[in-house]
Amino acid sequence: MNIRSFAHQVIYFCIGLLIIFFQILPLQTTPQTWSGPNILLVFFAANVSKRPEFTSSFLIASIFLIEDFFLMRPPGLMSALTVLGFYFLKRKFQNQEVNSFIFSWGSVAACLTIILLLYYFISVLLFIPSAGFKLTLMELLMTLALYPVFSALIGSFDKLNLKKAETIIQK
Amino acid sequence: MARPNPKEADTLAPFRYLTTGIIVFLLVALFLIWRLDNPRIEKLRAEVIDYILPKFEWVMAPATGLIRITRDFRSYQSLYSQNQELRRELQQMKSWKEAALQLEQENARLLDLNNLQLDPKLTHISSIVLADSGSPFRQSVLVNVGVQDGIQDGWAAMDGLGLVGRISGVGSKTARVLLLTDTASIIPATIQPSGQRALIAGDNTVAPTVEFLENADLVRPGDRVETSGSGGIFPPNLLIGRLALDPSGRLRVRLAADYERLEFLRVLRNFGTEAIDNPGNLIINKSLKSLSDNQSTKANGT
Repeated sequence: MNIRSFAHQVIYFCIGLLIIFFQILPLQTTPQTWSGPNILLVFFAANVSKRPEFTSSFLIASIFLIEDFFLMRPPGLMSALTVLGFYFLKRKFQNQEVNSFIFSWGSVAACLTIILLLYYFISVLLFIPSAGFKLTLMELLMTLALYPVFSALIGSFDKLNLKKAETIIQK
Repeated sequence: MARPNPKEADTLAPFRYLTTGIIVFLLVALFLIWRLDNPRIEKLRAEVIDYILPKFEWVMAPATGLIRITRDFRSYQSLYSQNQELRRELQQMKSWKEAALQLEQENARLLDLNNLQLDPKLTHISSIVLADSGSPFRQSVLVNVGVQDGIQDGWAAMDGLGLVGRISGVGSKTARVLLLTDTASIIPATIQPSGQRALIAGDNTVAPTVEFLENADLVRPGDRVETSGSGGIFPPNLLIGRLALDPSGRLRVRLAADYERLEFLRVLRNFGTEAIDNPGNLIINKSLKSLSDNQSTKANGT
């Protein structure tokens, strides 16, 4: 692990903490009938697809474990599923030579669907109180719909870096 | 962007495989321990939150305030009509206040006549809501009091009017309040004036359901729902809300506490009421009993 990759991971960790911070602001204390997207999940999925080399399993495990603790989820379940899912996703992206957008969206969608559905079914099987399948399904759809936005955002940062590097080299 | 050398990636691959495996194993182990030995891991959760949250406390309040102001901006546009409405409500409130004052005086006189003592232990600690549960799946809030302020698990939390939830998970500076609307929340209650016992169970909707009602014919929508204090969970006679029928004919509780804006909560100190399970306990005071025991042992000794 070199310094560059370490710095990237620290930045991703801080952004992850920021996302959790905005999630737990006490703005919504009545129960909702709808569910927003799981922003942390889609942010790291976009990172894995764009920058597979900068998302180590350790980073993903630590940030998702913190989210587990704060969001009152069973600690360890969601983070274990995410680490596993993202590991296979990462391998897929690293082996791929050219990433088309449709391909990455498709594989991210498959991965996130498996993570969220497995999480739901395991918590039902182990009698952990859950808020119903409708909310989970809604969360899944919203998360998948948000993926292109995050992917474009991280992609634009990528290009920015490239352009900067080129101008520095030309000078 | 320079791609990493494929050969280098290959040499690191088994290492990554191994660390990922170990991490997943540890996480699954944590989850299984949580499932088997819940309280210990929940304590760990409270400590983790207690470690992280106070560091964000200073930005939490301004951020919440700012977002609320921008959200409320739309309502500023209809300021005039809102003002009129508030005036009307204030007029009504004044008459209620008058009634309340008269009742309070009457109550004080009656209490004085009966020479009645209120439970001195039932005092409260005020707290600020720092954070909510962050997802629509669970309903809870974090408050800024903890073990340092003498908070214990299971105490009741109220806003100005009614019961909000119970303390579930205490750190040294923070505590989590499980709201009545959460799916894990079940509270024993009595329904006045009929005195029927029931359980108030949250189901992740605004109005919790009424379960295990003894006789549904004796209660009507609009009846007061209060804590019963059975099982020593809560002090008795805290207001929860009023009964209501939902469209499918099910009894629910319309909560008295204002769940839209939970900003300040009162945590009631409750060290439990002494159980009187046989008539002797009522007559012989415990301290007296131990005194007499001491004397008898002394007498035997000499």
